[in-house]
Amino acid sequence: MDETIIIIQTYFDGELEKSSEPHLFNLLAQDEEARNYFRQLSELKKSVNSAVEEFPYELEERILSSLITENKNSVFSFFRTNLIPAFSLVVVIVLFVLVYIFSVELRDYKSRVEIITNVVKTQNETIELLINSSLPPVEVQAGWENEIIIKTNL
Amino acid sequence: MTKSAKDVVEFTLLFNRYKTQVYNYVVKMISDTMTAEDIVQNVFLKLFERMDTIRNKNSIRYWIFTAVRNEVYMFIRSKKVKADQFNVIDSDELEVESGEDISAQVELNETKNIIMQELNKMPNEQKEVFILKEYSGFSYKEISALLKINEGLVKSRLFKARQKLIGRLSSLVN
Repeated sequence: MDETIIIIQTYFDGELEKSSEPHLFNLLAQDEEARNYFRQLSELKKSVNSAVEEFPYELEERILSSLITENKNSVFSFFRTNLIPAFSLVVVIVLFVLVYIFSVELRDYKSRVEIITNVVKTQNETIELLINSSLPPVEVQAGWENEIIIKTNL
Repeated sequence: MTKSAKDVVEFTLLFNRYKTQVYNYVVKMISDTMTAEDIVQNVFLKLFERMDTIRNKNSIRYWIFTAVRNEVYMFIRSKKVKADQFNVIDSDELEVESGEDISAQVELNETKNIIMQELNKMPNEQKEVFILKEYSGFSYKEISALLKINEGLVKSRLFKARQKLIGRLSSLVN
């Protein structure tokens, strides 16, 4: 392949450096064969461009709609392939919620027991006081040497 | 793996950027529209599935064309496509709006068919370099990287392919 052809080809492929363009134009000005090849390549480019196929609309639609289906399937396949880990995760979450509910209930129950205990204690003291105040005065008599050892002030 | 809306948007952008290049490459390599459509669909769906695994986003075009080439060569090997197998569009099927356009339309389809015929006569190596350059917009460097050959060989194959087409088209004009 001679240099002229390489330069012309590179020019048509859009890969010829700007600095080499004057050289190409010189060649074209001087060489009849180069001009001929240049013309032929230009014609070929036109024909090739006219043979570009448009991307079919139906195919585009098919590809883009199958993306949606694929995306849906991948959600299901996630659950299908990860069924055991997913189930374990659900169980752990449920257990965690139950533990939390029970701990709250337990705290509530404990505080209620404390309140009831206090009430019972207070009531017990009140009852004791009432019983004690309703008793008759007590006199303790000593034996026969000391007459009275203790006498209540009531 | 579930794809997000961002992935779908990213894919659609890539799809719109490369669809015509890929489609033209496949159609012109195998000359079978139905199979070409299946191959293009498979490759783009594969791209959608594996988009996350392609680390270098700049090499997506390279990835697409490597995948497409594999599919095309698999088809060529399995079917042993005949050299003269190409889709000739029947002139009855042409959608022409006015009588004046008929000759232009026929001429256009004739040119298309001649190019396809001539491409089908070429060895795959020449044909592929020509298609990648003219219909997929690859540079010499990119073709050499994709086909794993040196740039000199790319230029030489391109020259040979063009010479054959120039010869064929000029004989038609004459």
